[in-house]
Amino acid sequence: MLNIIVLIKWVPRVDQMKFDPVKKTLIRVGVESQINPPDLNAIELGLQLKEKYGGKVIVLSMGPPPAKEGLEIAIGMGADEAILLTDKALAGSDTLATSYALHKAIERIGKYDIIIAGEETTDSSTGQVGPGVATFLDIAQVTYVDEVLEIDVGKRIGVFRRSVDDGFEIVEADLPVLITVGVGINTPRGITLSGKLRAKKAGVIQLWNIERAGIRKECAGFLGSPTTVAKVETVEPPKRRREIINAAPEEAAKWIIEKMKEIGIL
Amino acid sequence: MMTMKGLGACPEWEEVKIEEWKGIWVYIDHRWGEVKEVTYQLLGKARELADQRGDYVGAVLIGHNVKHLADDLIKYGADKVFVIDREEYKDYNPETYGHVFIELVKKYKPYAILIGGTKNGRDLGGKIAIPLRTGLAADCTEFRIDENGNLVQIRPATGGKILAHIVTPSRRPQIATARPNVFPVPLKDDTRKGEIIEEDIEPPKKVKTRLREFIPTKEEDGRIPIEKAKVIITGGFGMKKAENFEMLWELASLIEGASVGASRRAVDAGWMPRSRQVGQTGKTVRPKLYIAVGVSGAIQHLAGMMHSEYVMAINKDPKAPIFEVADFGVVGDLFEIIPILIRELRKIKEQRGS
Repeated sequence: MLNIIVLIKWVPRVDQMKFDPVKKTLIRVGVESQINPPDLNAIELGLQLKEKYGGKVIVLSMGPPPAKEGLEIAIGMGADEAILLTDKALAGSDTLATSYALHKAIERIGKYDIIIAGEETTDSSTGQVGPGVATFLDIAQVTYVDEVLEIDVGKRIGVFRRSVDDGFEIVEADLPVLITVGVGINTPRGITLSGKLRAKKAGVIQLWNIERAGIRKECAGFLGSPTTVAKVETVEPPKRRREIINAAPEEAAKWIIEKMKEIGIL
Repeated sequence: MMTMKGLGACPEWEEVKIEEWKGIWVYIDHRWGEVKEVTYQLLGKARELADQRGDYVGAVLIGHNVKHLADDLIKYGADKVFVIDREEYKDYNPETYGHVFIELVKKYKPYAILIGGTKNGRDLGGKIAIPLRTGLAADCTEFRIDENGNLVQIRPATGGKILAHIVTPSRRPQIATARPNVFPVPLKDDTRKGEIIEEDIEPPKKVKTRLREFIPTKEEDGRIPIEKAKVIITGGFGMKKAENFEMLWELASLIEGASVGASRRAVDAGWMPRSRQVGQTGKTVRPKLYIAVGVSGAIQHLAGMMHSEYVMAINKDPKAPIFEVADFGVVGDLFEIIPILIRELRKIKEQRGS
């Protein structure tokens, strides 16, 4: 039996954000949101581990009320329960304040053997919240896992393969452990109709405020964040020539060579 | 007296007097004594910042049988090298290395700690910042010192569309990971002198993770690493299988200074080694010409190559986002175009050779 907690984030689709060349800002209107892509892999891994070892999958997220949609998807995929940590006091959280809040909620959940998170988000891409939560909880952390090699529930040990810059590390960790995973580890399943219906049932998705999670107000959100964004600059993407052709292969190859000569490559 | 209400106001945190904190430290990222290049890049940047502040550069060298590396670190810009050498520290481990850092920070109170944004560097950052309840900025591409004496940590966000300036005004040390290959490696100065400080720090009593094995990426003989290539030909998921990358290597062999890269999906599929991955979770490159072959152009990919001088794309989907950032685009089947391109380039080479 494994008690599994999966951490997910509901993020805006940064690929849909366009640059407004006049106002020099990002256009956020009309941008859809989604579950942060590697977090879907984290859910999938949680479900696979449950299928193999038995147990329960609880999905935890922190964010404003619309983030509930992400938890409905997670339940639709097969998670047992979901919790959305949502409170105005959490606004402005940096990675430390986010890790603090999530670890408090996890302590409230109580029982856990493995916590799974996506390796980083597409909107902030820090990769810091997973390790932050592990550090607050004072449990083992294994980041950038691309394969779960073994979980010995009896001995309370997990063995994981990490993908690092210069190769792979095989790491053995005591349970409970927090691992982070990327999009290559598995293929997330879709949602089922029965799952979709379950997500609508009362009590399956709970909304927690800071009191419910045991979070101190003066240590949460903006107040509990050592960092602040002093300034934001928009980066105008480099101007491109955008010469696009649709030609027969012979012609296309010749055109490519011409262009390479033009820019001094050949 | 002005207090920074709102930032770091949590009463559970130990108070810090920010004026006491001195020294710009660099974490020496290495595996068994083989130092990662980003370390030298950061020593250069730390030197520049320290000179501006009238401060010293500290190098933190944790490992086993690594003391001999200290001289080189001094020649690349360090004033003090803190050496923590013990058998227990032979392998990188976030818990033991984090523990050593915390002990050192308590004793020496550094102003800032710069960590190379490798996978292990990013794994380590929180192990120092969280227990000290201080700021950690991720994946920075520039550092400055502002008029209040804070370190401005500049980093791309939302897929590289904005640059955020992060500051940690009321906590110390200011900790940041920095993207590899953004800062140049400084010139080595053989005349530089510095101090080597050996510290004996006992490991924590209980360590919850253990490295069982390290499997290094296989060396590829004679092939140019992508971060050093003038032309990068990157294959994406459209390459369909590992064998098809041979075609790209053949193409690269016909263009001077060219090498082959891969998108994340191609690497995840096992077609190319991780060391050749371009993008947000791979390497950031800026070659003279970037040729994307069968790469759709996910935003995470674009973040790693958007500053290439020229971008060329070959893709059969005219709606692929890669075309939006391309100078030259060909809508067509790569499996038809690449072989002809190879044939034509070979002709040119033969003509020039004769």
